[in-house]
Amino acid sequence: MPDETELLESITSSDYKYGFVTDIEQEMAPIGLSEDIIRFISAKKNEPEWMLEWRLKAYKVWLKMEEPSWQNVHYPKINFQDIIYYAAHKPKKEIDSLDDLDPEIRKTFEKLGISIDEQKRLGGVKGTPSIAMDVVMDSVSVKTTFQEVLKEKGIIFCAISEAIREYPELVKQYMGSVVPTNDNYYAALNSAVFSDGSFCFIPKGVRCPMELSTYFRINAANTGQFERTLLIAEEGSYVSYLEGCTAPMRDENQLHAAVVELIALDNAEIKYSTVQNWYPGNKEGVGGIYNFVTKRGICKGISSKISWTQVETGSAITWKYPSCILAGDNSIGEFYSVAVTNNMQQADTGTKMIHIGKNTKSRIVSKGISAGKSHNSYRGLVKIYKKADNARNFSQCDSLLMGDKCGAHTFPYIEVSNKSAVVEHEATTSKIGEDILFYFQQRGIDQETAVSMIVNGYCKEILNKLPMEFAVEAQKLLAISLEGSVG
Amino acid sequence: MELTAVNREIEWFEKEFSKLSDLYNSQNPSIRAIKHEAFEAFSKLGFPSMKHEEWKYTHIKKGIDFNSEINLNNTSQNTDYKKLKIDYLNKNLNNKIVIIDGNFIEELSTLKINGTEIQSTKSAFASQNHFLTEQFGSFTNYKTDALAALNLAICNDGFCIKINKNSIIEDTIEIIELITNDAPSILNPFHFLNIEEGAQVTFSHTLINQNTNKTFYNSLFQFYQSAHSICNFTSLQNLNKELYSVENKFVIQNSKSKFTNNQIALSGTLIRNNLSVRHEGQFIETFLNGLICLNGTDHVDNHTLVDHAKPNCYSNENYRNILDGKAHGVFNGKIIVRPDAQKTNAFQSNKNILVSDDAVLNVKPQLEIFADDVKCSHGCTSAQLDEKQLFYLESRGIKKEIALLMLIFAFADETLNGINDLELKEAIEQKIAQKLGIEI
Repeated sequence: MPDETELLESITSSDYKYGFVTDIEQEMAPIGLSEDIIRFISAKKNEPEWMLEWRLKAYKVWLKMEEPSWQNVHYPKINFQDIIYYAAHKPKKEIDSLDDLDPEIRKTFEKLGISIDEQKRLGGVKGTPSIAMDVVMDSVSVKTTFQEVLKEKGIIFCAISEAIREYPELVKQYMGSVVPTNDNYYAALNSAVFSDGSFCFIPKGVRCPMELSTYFRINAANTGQFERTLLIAEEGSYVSYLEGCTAPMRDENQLHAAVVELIALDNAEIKYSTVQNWYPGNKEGVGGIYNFVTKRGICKGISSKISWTQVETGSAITWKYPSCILAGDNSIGEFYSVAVTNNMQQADTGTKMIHIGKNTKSRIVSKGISAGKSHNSYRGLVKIYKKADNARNFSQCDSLLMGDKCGAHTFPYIEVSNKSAVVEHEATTSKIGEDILFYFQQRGIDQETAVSMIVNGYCKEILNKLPMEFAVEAQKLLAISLEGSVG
Repeated sequence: MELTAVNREIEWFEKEFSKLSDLYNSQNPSIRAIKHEAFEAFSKLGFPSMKHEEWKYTHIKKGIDFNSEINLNNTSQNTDYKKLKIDYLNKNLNNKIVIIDGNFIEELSTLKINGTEIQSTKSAFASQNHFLTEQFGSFTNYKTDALAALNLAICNDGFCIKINKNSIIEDTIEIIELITNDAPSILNPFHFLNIEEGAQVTFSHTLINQNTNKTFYNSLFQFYQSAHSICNFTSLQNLNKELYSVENKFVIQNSKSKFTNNQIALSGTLIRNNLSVRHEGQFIETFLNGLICLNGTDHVDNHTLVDHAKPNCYSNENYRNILDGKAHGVFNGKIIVRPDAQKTNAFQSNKNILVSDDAVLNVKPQLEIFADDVKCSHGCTSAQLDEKQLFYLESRGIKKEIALLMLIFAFADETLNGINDLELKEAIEQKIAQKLGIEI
């Protein structure tokens, strides 16, 4: 059916709307990576001696490690000496209030639809609660909003470089406890050169009154972004955290290697949502971000819960597995994901659910959509340890193929060492069924609308898990990624 | 460190291999050429370690003692075969192919079955023009698969069978592979099964051993199925310790052919089955069934690959593990759908029961799909038996232990539906019941 092919093509060709560059004065580290560069970064951040040592130790570990090659993505070898590891805008003076912020930066975020004024609401949705936001551009945090309001409740929400200076005990205790520096190649690299990111601490029994959020923006050329996020929820607390990201359009690939660590103590709940929209490269696959991220949470306490929700539409290559270590008895891990790849994009994403405690539960719902010449892989591990009595897992991985030049792959690993565990895994791959399309059409809905409605319905389960403001954004993003038909 | 260990293994292998050179000089030059390539490939690859993705859960090297003298192939044939006690699955049957220690035994085999040609691999290698000559090794992945390369490089016997065009073989052909060899050895029998156009055949294959010293058995079955042919192959592995077995099966199917493989493993220290099926035509059907029922410290690893290269084909996989004691079950089922293979239907189901607290299960159902108009799915579970079913049986006055075994037997029995020879199916059911300790 030629018209169907045309339709798919029109749906799956799109433009990236966040690809502009902000012209600001910048301060950069010299190109390349060495111990001196790490000392330079550490000095720029006014870090204490122990932090520098931690970084140098990680660097030594990294030097001994080999770049992994098992993943189902292909890219030319990265030259790590060809990257600038630190880039910051030059503040004209000390920022006391928001009005002092460089107007160029303010304009950038306005253009991105992000309001850093405390009075305004994200996305223009009325009646929604405010969002406290940490804005990170290249290697530094620009501004964290609502800090005062949060402080009243005892919540700490700030840039990680600030936390290293102000709350060294907390950082020392938790940083690297979930993702050790020697965990993998990119985690080691991140540990050595990480620049900024968010730190968040929710004290005992506190329910965070607003959504916390970090917006990451890569602006400078030839740089890599290496942010580090650490989120601690003490006994009985609750927090919902959002993360968004964009980058300018450039012909060269830029590396983004982040580490995110979540710690949930007894009865705590962390909800972590990501809408990832890094520049995906052009239609021929030139340029784009390499998004190599290590995200992991530990349900340390009893009855704790960690829930990951991600909408992945950007990046030339996405390679990440937000995972849960279910160590506490009765703890719960969840992973909800929509990954859309188009043109020449590649994604190898999924999760790990490690059941250690008794009566632990996990749920995985992954929806992949491949279009153009892209490749989309789900890779997941469900591991039930011997002592994890009555562990329960349910996994569902569906792939939708749009066009005959793309690929969808599933690599689920299931390792069970306890007889009382119940593990279920199911996966399907198909295209949009002709019978479903026919049903829509006989109800008078044209083909284009029908396709968009089907895609929307296909992702609904995941989008429903996002906080409302983000759900709106994510739905818009899906529409952009698969061109103007979703909505 | 790792590298020197690999180098040492390869050095050892090259030394052992050079001892065989006289033997190969008598072989057909085109066969020798492929053997040479396979040898080069193996020298590069070496024995796979657990770092290799495909060998993640199976430590194959423990089957070989690299420090001692090991026979590569068993070339002496002095045993008095008539005295051996062989446990045939069907005692009344005439159609038998007997392989002992990797060698084809003419005295015990049926050489004349209507509609077929049977010969030892050794004589096929020596002849100038044989149906094997063109096909030898042609669809095995020996350039990347170390154990296929090992087999092709040093194999010198086994059996070759051709089912003639349009022949329908009524009686099941029983293949027995028996290992009696007591010297530590690596045995590499090569078997070729050529099923011509329109032919239909059923095989049963039993692997058993009586050896008392560590032996590594690395067999390779190469199937070539022409158009419109039907082949039903049932493998039963019931091994005692000291045998480390790797069974490589490579199947090529042409248009409108049907291939069924039933893989049953009841015991074995270390069993690895590699089964690869490739579709070379349209409207092909492939059925792969597996039942693994283990206890003790047994280890069985099944790797399957269905390569959908052409449109309009169908594949259905159904593997089940029942693991008791400290048994370790591994299943890796890969389905590839190539860009041209539109309208493919591929299904895979993998269900598992862990009976004891010490049993371990590792499974990975894997889909790699490059065509859009396909229906592919897989399901995988690990769980307990249904409480309600158990209660039903108990309420009828059946003791809990017996009721459990009945349910396990029923769970296992569902995988045997692919066996088309009912007598053979019954014989295998008896073996399973015996293993579980129940009467049927």
